[in-house]
Amino acid sequence: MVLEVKVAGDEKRVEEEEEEGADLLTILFFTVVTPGIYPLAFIVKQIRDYAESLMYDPEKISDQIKMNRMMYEFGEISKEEYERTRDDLMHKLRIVQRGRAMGIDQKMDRLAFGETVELGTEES
Amino acid sequence: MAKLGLYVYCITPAETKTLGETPERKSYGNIGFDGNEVYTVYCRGMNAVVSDSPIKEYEMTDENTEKHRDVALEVMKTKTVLPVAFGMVFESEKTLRTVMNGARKALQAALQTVQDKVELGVKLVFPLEALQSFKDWGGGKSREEYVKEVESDMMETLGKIAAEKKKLRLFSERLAFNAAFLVEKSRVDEFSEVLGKLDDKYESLKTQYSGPWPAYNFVDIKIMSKEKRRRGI
Repeated sequence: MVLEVKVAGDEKRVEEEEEEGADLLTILFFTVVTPGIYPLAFIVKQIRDYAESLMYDPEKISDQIKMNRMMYEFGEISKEEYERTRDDLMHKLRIVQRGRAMGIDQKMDRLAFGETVELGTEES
Repeated sequence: MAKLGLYVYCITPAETKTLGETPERKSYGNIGFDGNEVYTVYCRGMNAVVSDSPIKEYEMTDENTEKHRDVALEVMKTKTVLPVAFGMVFESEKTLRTVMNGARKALQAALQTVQDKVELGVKLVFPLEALQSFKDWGGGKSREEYVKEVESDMMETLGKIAAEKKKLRLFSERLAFNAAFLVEKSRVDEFSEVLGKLDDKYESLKTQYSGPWPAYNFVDIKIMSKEKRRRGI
């Protein structure tokens, strides 16, 4: 277990931590030029992540949830409209989170090395 | 049924009468998730404010986030509060104490940062008609120019009163300004007064002033597995 404590002024460090991983084009370039440099499962994962990010963006859904709340607080939409939109957006967010919680990427990584894998066994 | 653990709402400094003494467990009443008692778990000069709650993923519904926030607000009435991110559950008191002990220095530094201060949130929002034709509404200025001017004015004016300030993301094109300010409790009235003048100055925008909150935007405490941290989840 890790207790992560960030206080005011730590933004730079946080941003640096978030910048990790090679971009899709770099991976595809090296895959074509020097086959074998990246494992197949890794390439498939990068492509899947990219495709998923085009379909679902949890941050955009969260933004819409916040905006919906703000419009309700300003009296621009009715309570019924607020609740209906909120439930719809929460449903979308749940779908995205459920996909991630299944640990599909972990499963693919491990299968590449021939290990037996159970879904949803991520350490909590 | 999910196994019970300890859901952590916030951390406060603990007061001891004599050196080395362990303070008594304090109860805040049955205000936690599922109506469970909220109480303190002591660890070397600090109290974690917890309730017995199932070990599971807590969904960020309005009801759940309001519960998390309301407990912290109740504690904040009498104590300086170090906010803990939503959804943090520990298996046992022992695990909680071990983790808090490991992060003791960072937690104490964070407590110093928020001591006797509260967070205040300020948003300025464009009316719907501004988005239809911004240049007409904004007197020839582009939305970006307008936002930059407002932001600079607000941050400079309110920043003079605040101990810390933080620009927050404009999560919608409706937002002209979004920021959080960490303000000494003794200067909250002064802050409100100055904001009132800015509200008059930008009367064509809608103002949302919220707080006082625990310093959620200035201290971020998350407990996670090493694997989750590596993967940035």
